[in-house]
Amino acid sequence: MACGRGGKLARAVLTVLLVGGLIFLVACFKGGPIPTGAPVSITLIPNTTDVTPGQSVTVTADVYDQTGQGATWTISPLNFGTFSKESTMSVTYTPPNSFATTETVTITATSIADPTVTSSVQITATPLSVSFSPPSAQTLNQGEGQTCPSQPLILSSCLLIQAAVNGDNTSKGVRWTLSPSSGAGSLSSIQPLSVIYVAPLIVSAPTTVTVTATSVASPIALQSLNITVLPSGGGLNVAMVNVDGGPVPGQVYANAAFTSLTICKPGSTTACQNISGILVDTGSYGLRILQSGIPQLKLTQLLDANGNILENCDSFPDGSFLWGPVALADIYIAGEFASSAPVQVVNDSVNEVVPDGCANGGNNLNTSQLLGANGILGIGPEPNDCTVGGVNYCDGSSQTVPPNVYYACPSVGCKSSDSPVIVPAIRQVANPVFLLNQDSNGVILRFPQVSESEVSLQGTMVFGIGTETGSTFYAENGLGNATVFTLDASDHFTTVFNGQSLTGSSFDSGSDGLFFPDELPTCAQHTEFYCPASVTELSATIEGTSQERVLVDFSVANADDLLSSFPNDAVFPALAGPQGNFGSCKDGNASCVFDWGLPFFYGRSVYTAIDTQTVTGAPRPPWWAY
Amino acid sequence: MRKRVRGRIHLSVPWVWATVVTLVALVSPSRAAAALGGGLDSVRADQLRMNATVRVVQRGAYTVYEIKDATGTVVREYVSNSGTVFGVAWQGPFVPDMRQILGNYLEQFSRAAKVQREGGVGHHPLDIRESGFVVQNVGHQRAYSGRAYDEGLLPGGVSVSGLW
Repeated sequence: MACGRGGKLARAVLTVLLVGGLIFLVACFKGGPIPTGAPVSITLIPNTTDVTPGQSVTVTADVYDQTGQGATWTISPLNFGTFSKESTMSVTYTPPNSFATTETVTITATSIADPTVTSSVQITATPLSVSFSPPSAQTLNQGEGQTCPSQPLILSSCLLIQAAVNGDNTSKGVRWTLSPSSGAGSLSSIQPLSVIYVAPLIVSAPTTVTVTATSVASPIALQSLNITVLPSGGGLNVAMVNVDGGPVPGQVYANAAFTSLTICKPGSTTACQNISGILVDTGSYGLRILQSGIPQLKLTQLLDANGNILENCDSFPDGSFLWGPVALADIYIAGEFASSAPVQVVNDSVNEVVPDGCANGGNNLNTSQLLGANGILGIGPEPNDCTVGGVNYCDGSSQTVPPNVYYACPSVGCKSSDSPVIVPAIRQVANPVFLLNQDSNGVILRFPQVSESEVSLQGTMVFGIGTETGSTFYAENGLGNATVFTLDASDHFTTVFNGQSLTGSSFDSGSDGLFFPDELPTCAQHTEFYCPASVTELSATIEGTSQERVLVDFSVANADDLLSSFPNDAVFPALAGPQGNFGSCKDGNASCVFDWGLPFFYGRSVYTAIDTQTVTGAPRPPWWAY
Repeated sequence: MRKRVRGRIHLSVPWVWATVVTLVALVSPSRAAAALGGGLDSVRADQLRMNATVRVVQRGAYTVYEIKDATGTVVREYVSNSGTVFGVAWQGPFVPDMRQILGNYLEQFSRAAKVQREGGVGHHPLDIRESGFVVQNVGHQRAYSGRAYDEGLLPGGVSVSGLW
């Protein structure tokens, strides 16, 4: 900062001197007699060229005139700030206490002896601004009588908020306020630049409160943070999920559930960043984050014995993919913690070469605009992104030829011709639930019932199945009377629908509709969805490999009509679409799928139990239940 | 440079019902000639590239070559009696190499997938239908199934419902 100012000052002085010198030279070489009385000149020397509210700049005029009359001073824009200590040789300029945007102020000295001679200097006046850590909306659980400890990061009813007043040289810090005035919890450990927000003991419904920091030096500078406090049923093992269109402004990602979490360098509680807009996906395994979502955090990448970077490829059914290195991170979500989890970090570099085997002719989703999210939290029923039905396809145990999931590349990057490599399970991108230090056997996604399109919907993600009784600050997470659907060797159950036996079925919160083969007409505009003439009521039977059948009723509405009529809505319970060709699944072959996407989760508690873990009193995972 | 592998042995059609043939490749995994729209030699090349087991089923107007590749994914190649691959289907933990199975259709696939992707965010099955060229893929991580075919290449009387 000081260096930059010094540079600008020196440049300004140099410029003035050079211009003055040139004028002088031009005058000398014009030829002819030198006029009686040398020409008047003014050189301005400001002691700084950058000011913020509360600061001043003193401009000294070196006026060369024989009569020694000096100069008068003017300011532009008029009335933006004030002069003080004004003399014919110097002036002190002070910007206004409060203003909203950066302003360039021109201070001009005019010679009294020869008013045609002026000299100006430009001063940049920068307003104060307040920034926050964490920067974006947060979710907490109600307090339930807890006392906030000194390390609030790992406690889900307390939040440490830090403010910085950029440009404030007064060190006056901020004034902290909380709204609404009642029922919003409290602020404690109030400091000029930090505060601990303490959630209310009890809330009856999800309650959003606002913490505001206002600069004391310049009250026009303020910043607010919204915090949502979960009601009872929340707990340290409960994270909020929102179907709210996603984190990208101006873009509505329908039927997608988002959560937020905190990522730290392993072992650190300060090298951390909160990241929101993370898609919750029971159809994949592992945390994948865009580097652009954690701009201040550079996680250490995993290397092989030769120093090559371990790169990961995540392929989506629609042909698109995510590509990026595997790095270790501590993950905090709700009050839960996973230590040193292998995660995928996706860079948005356009120059990065992705091996053909990963790209596979599809599209790279390496920005939040393309992905519709800042990352994906894969919480399906396997411990990592290489295992299905208990078989790990990438560690060399089941086959010698590795699939297109892991690559090892030098730091300059991969080549398009690179082949995948074998990677041991411990280095594979892991399901963070599997790595939690408790409640790690599975997860429950809960959403309230919706009957028609809504702007947004709030649900919860509860960690653990049958691991908590609700006697502590952790929410009860028993299976209750939910029906368990055990899975086949491909982690699928069967859905019987319209004369078809769809043996490749799954509950996939990462899918934005219900997708199944049927004769319903496909939409003209949104060709991925069905467009029946009127809302169509259907039903299907779900059966696990060893359990009773359960009938599911669902509706299919005209997607083109819905999406055009409610462009700002994110919740569409009756969104469904085609997959495969109707009629090809009568013999129940394995490629026939009913993809139960997020609309299935509305109004239900869906349990995902992770392979190799145990759930007391329930079949051996993997399984789903609801 | 990749080694270009072309099968020299032409699998003659018709084959007996449910003949099971096991072929073990002696070459390293290499990219081979196109499958969809290609000829029998491309099927043979796939077997070599995938280091695969193959099962051959004659179905009247066409023959199905079912290949289980080394990564556990089953690929079915549908070959007309005139020797043209008119469809490919797959099912397993990994999407097969699209360059391998789509061949000359790869660019059309890439372009169509890009257009669909740019139509809006969201994760759902792939369903490309462009003047008879169809690519579908569904599922989730470690479980995909799909098919690609060109309706213009379908032998007479053959329905797409037979292509799983």
